[in-house]
Amino acid sequence: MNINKIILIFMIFSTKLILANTPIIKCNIKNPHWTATLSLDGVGLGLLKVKHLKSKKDFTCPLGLTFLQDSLGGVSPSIIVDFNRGECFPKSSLISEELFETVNLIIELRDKKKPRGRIQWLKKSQPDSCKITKFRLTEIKLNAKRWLKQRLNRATANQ
Amino acid sequence: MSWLRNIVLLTTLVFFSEAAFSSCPDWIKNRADTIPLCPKGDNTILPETFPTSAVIVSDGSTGWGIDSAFTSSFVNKVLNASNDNPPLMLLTVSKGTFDTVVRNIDALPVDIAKKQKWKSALIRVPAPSYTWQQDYFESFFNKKGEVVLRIVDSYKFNINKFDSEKSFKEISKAVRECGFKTGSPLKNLGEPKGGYRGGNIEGLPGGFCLFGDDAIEKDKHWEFYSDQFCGKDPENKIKVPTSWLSIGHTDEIMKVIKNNNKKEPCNFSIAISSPKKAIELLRNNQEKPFLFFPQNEELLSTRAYYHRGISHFCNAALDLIEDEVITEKKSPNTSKIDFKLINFFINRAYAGVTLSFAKPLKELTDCHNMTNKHILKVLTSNNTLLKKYNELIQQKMDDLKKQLTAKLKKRLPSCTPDFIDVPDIFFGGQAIQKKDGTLELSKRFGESLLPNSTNSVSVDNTIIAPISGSQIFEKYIKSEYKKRGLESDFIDTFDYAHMGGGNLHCATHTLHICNPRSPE
Repeated sequence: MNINKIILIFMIFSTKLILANTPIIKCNIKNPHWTATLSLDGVGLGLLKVKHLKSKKDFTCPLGLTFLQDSLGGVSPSIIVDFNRGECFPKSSLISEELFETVNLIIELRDKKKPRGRIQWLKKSQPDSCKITKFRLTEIKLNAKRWLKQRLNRATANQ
Repeated sequence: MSWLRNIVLLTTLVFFSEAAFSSCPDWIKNRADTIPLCPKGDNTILPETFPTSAVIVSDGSTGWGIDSAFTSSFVNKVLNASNDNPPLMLLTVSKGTFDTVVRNIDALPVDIAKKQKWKSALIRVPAPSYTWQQDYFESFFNKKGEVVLRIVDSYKFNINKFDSEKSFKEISKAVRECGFKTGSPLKNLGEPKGGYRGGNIEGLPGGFCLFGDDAIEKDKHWEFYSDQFCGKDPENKIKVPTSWLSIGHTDEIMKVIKNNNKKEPCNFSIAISSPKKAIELLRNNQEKPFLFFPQNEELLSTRAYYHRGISHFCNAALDLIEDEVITEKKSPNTSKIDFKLINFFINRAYAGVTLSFAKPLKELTDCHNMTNKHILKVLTSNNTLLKKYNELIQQKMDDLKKQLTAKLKKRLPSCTPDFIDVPDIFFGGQAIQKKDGTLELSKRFGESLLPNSTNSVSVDNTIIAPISGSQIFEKYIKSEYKKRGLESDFIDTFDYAHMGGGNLHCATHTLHICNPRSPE
């Protein structure tokens, strides 16, 4: 194997690694009291960066992915993403009090060039729209498939 | 001359496999006397209690490709229900599926004449396979008693290859021989929304139209749209609360059906989703398994695992079990969170802990073992948000019943509206706290956990409903229909439609017919 091949393999491998850690979905939320950015990367890690407008500090919290569904063939073509925020925000903070334990994002795909996100996350206000800034459909579909397969494997292995 | 014989044979084969249908069924063409008169007033949508003149179904399962078995099974059920007056069966299917449908009719244990009659009602529409046949158009009637099809103008996606205009054109062409017309498109103001679709527009006896409020934020937009089919009288309109649902259509939470035990004009019942009824049934049958798919038992665990709602309930049930374990096992020095963390890292292992459930529910992989007791616990425990959420939905449904009763009483004073509480459980949305401390449903996140029975199809005296996935729910629904002189038949829609957020009604389209009234 010559050096060029090794470099090529290394480059493919590192590109894959980089891509896996870059967001496949990213969206911004702005409502009268909060601003936030939600993202999901190629290995299934969610991240919520959130700030109350009265507070100086913003908090970043990793989210656990609990469901990822490609529902492009559904009644309303969409991508459905559920996260669990777990216990990561400071326990007594406003964020912990006001956020639901689960964060649900539905991305409507009436027009694939203009995906529209809506997010259910706050206990005291109706779901917000989440302005999509990054949306890699091919990777999302692949991840949804992979994620489902993993779940199915576990299900059948248990029988 | 064997080549000539072969050509004749081939032509006959092609003719019978591609378009077994040759003319409009007699009972439709001749306007049989048994067809009731059109409702009075200027509302133009018929309730589904009127005879079914045509049924449209495809074979494109949501996300799973062509499903000929579903289509064939549905066609058989419709034909069986319609008996001697089959509706036109418009199949937007592949050639393979069409052949399967024909072959399966041939295999039915009925006499040859009936088979021939049934087969002659079939027509293969040259339109692409597409699951959601309910939503891109809607059917109405005019003063002459003609069926009028109107396309939903805003039904355009560029995410899939479905061309609603082409499919609508082909369907319109196929029903022309029965004298069915094409009307003006249904136009909307503002942005296209999910609410502007066929499944959100239904009819109610008394000349009412039902139109859900989903995603149509401005009243004037809702008014503008409903003006196109409800008629001029604002009293004709009933706004159905659907904006809390993810899809947001009327047919997800209610269905108007016949009631053969009552006389006209009161011979109808209204089936409405009811989490309360679901809880009542679960409570009375706690030890039974929650999930039940008798014809597809091998798919049970897969379905339990890949369906978002079932996983959601399973997670909630596991959390409750975990909480019970924590209460039982917690030592004074161990906090609840510590215990949860420990459990998380040992992969939710509860070795040695005996719980009061019939089958152990230890991990997410055991979701198919959930019993009614597990679901009941999730729906009644103060520790889960699903309790409050389903209570709020029940309130909404109770308010809807009151609204319907008031409207119907005014127009049909001799009738006492009959409601069927259809067991249904919802998930996906949340109870949002308002400024005054009261709770309201979050908008556009709600979904039915199991295939919802209101999303069914009426053919003559039979209700064809989705297999609910719960044995006790199905048994109850069957008995309620029977009480009203109706038969029921069930079809497995879990993969075909439920996984895509819709169900049998969303995946099909029935056209209903009435005889014109003589001018007054």
